[in-house]
Amino acid sequence: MLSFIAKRLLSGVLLLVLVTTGTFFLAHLAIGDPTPGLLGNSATPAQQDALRAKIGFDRPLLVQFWDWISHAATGDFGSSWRNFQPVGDQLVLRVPVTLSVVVFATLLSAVIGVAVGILCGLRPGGVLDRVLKLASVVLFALPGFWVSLVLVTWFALDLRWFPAIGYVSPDQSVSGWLESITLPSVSLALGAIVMVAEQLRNGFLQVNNQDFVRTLRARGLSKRRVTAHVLRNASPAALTVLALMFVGLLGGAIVVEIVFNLPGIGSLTQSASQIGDIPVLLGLTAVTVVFVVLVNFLLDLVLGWVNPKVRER
Amino acid sequence: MTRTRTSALVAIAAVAAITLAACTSAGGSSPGAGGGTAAGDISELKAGVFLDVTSWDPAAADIGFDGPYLSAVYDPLVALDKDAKPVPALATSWEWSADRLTLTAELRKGVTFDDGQKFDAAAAVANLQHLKTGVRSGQAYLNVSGFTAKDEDTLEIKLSKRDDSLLYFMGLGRSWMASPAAIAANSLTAGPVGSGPYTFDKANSAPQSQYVFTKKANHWDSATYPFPTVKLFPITDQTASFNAMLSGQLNVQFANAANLPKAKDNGWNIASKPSSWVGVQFADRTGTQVKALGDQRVRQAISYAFDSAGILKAVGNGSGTATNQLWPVDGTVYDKSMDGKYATNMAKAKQLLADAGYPGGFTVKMPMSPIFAAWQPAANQTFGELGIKVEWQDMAMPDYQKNAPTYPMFLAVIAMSGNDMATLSDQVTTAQWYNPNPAVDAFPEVKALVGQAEQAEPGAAQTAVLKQLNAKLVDLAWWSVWYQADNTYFSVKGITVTPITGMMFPTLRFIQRG
Amino acid sequence: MTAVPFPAALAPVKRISLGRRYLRRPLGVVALALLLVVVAAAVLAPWLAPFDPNHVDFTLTHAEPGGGHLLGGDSAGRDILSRLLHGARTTLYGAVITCVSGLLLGVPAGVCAGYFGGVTDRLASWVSDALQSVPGMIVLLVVAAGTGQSFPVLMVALGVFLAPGYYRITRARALAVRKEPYIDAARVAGVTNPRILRTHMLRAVYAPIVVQTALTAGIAIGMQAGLQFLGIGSASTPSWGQMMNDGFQNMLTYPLILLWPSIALGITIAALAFIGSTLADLISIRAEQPSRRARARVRQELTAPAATELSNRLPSGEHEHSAEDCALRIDNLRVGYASPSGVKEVVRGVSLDAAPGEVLGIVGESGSGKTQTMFAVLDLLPSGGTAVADGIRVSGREVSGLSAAERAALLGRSIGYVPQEPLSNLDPCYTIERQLVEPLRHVHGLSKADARQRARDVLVRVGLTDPDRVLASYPHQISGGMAQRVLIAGAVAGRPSLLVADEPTTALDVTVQAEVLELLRELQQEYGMTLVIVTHNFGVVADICDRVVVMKDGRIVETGRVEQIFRHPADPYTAELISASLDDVAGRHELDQAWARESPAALDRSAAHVGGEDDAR
Repeated sequence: MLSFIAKRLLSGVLLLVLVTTGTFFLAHLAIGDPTPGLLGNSATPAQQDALRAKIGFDRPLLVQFWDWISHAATGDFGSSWRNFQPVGDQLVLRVPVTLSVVVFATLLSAVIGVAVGILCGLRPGGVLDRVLKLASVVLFALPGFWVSLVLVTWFALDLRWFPAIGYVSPDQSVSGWLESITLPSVSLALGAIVMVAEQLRNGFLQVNNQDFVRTLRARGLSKRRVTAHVLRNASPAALTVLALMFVGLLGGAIVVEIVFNLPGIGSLTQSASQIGDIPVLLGLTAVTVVFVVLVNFLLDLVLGWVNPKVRER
Repeated sequence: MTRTRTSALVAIAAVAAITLAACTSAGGSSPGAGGGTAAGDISELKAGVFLDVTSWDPAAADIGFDGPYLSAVYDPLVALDKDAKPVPALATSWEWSADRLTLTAELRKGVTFDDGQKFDAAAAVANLQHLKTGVRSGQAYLNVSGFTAKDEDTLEIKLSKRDDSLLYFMGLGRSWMASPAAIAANSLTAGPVGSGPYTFDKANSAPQSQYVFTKKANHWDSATYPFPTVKLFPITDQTASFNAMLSGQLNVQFANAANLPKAKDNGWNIASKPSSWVGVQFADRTGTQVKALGDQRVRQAISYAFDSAGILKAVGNGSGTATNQLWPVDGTVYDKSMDGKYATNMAKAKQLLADAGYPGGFTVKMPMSPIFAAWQPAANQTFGELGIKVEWQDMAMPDYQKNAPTYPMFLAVIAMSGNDMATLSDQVTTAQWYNPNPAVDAFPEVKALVGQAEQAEPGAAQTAVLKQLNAKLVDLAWWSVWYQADNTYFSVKGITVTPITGMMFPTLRFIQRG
Repeated sequence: MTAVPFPAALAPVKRISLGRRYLRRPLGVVALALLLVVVAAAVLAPWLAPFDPNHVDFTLTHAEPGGGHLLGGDSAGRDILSRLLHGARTTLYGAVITCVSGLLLGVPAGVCAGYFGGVTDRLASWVSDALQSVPGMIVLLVVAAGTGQSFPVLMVALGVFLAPGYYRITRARALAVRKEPYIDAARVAGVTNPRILRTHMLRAVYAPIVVQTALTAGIAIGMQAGLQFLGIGSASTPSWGQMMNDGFQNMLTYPLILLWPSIALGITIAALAFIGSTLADLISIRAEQPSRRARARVRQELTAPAATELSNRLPSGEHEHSAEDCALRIDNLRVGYASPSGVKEVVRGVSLDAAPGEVLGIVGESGSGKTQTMFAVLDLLPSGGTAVADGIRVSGREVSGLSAAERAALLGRSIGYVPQEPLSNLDPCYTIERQLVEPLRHVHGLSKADARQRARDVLVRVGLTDPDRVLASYPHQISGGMAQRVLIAGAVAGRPSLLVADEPTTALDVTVQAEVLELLRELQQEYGMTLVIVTHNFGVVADICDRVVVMKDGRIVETGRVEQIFRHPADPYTAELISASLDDVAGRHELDQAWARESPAALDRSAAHVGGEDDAR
């Protein structure tokens, strides 16, 4: 177990270093000199030089890289090139927003997706199963912002149940926080629910065909108890999809953050990439990868718990 | 004007003018929470601003959309009135020397900053020095050589060169006074320390999402700020912003002109003012890169070719004024009678091009970025009809800022100034990213008029010279302006917004009950 | 970026039949037709489009449909229909770039990882996992900023992020195929690795790649539109994403402008998704429960004898005992499965019986219907199977007319079942203790402590010397022989009067086989159970059975006492079987292979095995 953790940790750190290094050089290669974008070309050369010196852009690239990575290793991601605030401070503000929405969306899709997946798996070809199949295609084909806009129009503008925009921090008001993340989470979760349900349903049917299920039934176990066995065996695929979903949403919630005006990492990604604020982009990359590594680690733990055979590989 | 603007803001101006996005379903015909509120008694101003505050440090802040945020917590030395004329604020009066190289200002007494520091001439000098060295604010003080505290409440500003737009820029947002202690401690990026009409309620604010300000009990200019509470929400997406307005989460909004009909349905107040000019900028008007552009007739031909009114109506949602000039259409320099000069006439355009020796047109490279995409089809087609073949080079916005100046001409959406002399320096005489080669020297008549304007007595005399210059520039087809685009603001009944050309979002003093 | 879930288990499918079977699915045909229309529109756009897609006519700005402009004009005054047609080009072009780059990266890597395994596999899988951990949106936005919005470069970058989808599906498939005998045969025959990869592997992964491509294309088109929604991408060429962006801005006032590209985009993605899911249905083992109508048809066909082969529809086999005395009595049992070509009957009129305390052997080759007969008794036929009988009596009680729940209540109490494959018949996720105790507590109502004690006792009884260790173990931690003893323990723990054992020794080592048979015999005598043992091996019959039933092609060819059958087999087939059992021990595998090719039910089962071996991640 310890060696398992150590191995995963090592692999995670390696991934973190590789991805951030890649992003560092890609961003520098792609963006080039950021000062005109940050300052406007009307700035005098002296002002541009001053900014370059201030952000350390006048040094050789490798020196900048070493400077960045050695500081990042201690948790210091430097300062934004635009407003000179520490990147860490911005991330501390932004990450909880995206995390609230994504975690809530993941929970929603886990609970509802599992329920729907089981119901469909129990009665394949039934009405619910056919609805699920159709829904999966429809939600797959619908552009993401459509769903968000429909939700806003119904639940925020017509019914006034939820705010149309904005994020309320839970330390200000827990109910306000819940209200503010409901619509964004639901718009993210809709697609995810369908995917989890599909995956669980297919896994369910696959496991249902396995020998041990017949043996369990032959021992006289009730349908409900057999279902519990099948479910546990079918859950790894659904859990894996959930983890992938979480990872995908973490970096891909940009449109939802824009439509709901959430100050999360998605909207920060967009604005930072537009003006070429490389330290912010790198901080975002690092944070995202850390979460991905954590989630994958958790996933491995859970999968090992669900199916002990996995543990010994 | 761009000494006060960063490139990002021009990009934003363009985005705003493009009317980025607007929508809710047609079914969402809610009356608008604010719309139903009784007039006169709105205690809370909830304004949707296009961008987040750049920095609480006035030296690192932008003008465009930082105005509402900074005006809540800082007092300026000089403010502007609704016609963009400088009016007293912390400076109660001022006087120019005869050579207009020394400005002496009397300062308000009895003002203290939130940290208990006293506002006096020494504090003002510390602030101005900080602003002059600031990476963004420094551009306003390029012609200033020094600041001195003559006595406790007398300030003297020395100029190295006459600058008739200095007070305008100070009023626009370059003279916010912060606590000298905070400046010395370099702590302003963490949070504002000013003397402004409101206290920043950090506990109830969520940076980058909402900012809450509560009114101070005894501010010297209390009457100008009627709302007990001010909440500012940075909302870039116009759909999100409009939804927030419809749901009552906002009562003032930086608006998208495409939503005008819906705003009227809701009974909201609508305020508009010219903010940017849209057209073609001839960066190479001396013809060093593309010889044709050095010929006045070619530039005129291009001006004749474009259907400005059509573009304004189609692309600009009709929100603006078709004109070939770039002094604001509601100002004194603007001459309506000249607007007919380049009335769309393709035959004439082709003739001019032929006369200039380009009957078959010519080929030119132009940069293109997504935010200018809305104008591209019309531009491409008009150039095509004229015989000018354009090779578009796609690039992202920061690259556009970086690279556009290297192209002989490009599509432009450039923010305008509310001050006539500022317009002269920003659009004509000084090199800017959007005007990389002013080339005034290459046009002796222009050079002479510029010289006269810079020497003229401010007021009617100066305006008269500028009018001549304006006429000359239009005649030379110095640029091909299609129209001046408006910035538009929606507010619920009971709140009125007075927009200022030069501010992307007006400061709080321009948002009043009524 | 999230990969679309894809069934990991795939049944072997021939290429030609896939195309033909696809065309039998109406939904699939409609989807394919729609996609072809879109492709045709894209290819023929220059000829189909009524106007230049970039021609601006200000009078056309926001125009309603009509006046030669079928779909009206957009916000810049351009003909929407023409832009839609030309936009299809851009959209499909981008999707093709994305799919091709994902394919070129993912498939070779997946094939190599699956085929070579080891370091190659670990390295490639790590890279694939790493790619999925990269915040793709950041990279795409940076790439967009850096390459001057170059569309092909962006689409290639998108393809790189979608490559893990290809990689995983290909690897799983290659891993499964690698274990197939024909690959081994090719290697033994000296075929080089590159050639095996080219010929065998690529053919094997072909079908899932087609499915994955349909899904990837859908994702690519959606992502493309998403990027354009964020204002990324070339402005000079018409594209649907850009048209939607335009429509989005004018949605409130001119909703039609948004509608047209949305319909085009939605239809294209939905068509791809339906094509993908239809294909996935065809090649995967998505065990669709047969519809009620199909089951009724099977039932009807089983009960109503076809006039042409009346002789075949008569019951086969005979009863030895009177109905009241029987522990088990089957009367004219028929089992059938619905298949595309009609009803496939695997048991065709079987009658047999067994007295209390008797040991009955059912002998036959694979595919003779012996196991199906057993499953029919247990009422545990694989999905899609239907059984019809004139009568089934268990312990003298007629059960064929009982409800499913009443039949299920017999299991574990009256009937015990010992399966064939020891390891696949234990739930890998639970300890042995849990699996033994659960039925005792919840079926037999024992307390937790009693149940554990009984489980432990039974384990000792079946000859396990360290019962506590076994109880605490997971199935993968014990040997096959131990597992079979555990399964026997599980079957007898409930003290059933009838024990059904399906090839209980086939999967075991020869040395263990005898011990297990001996154990069964002992238990049968000790508990006074009736034992019905299904086997293909007359050696087993000779060891343990009192009476034997010989089956062939779903019918009984002979019934009799063991000595009598051995000495005077009445049917030549019986004689053949006996002689085969004597000199052949390992013919079973080949028989299984042959059977798997014929029987749809067998197909399901073998595919499920493949699925079990596929790596889920």
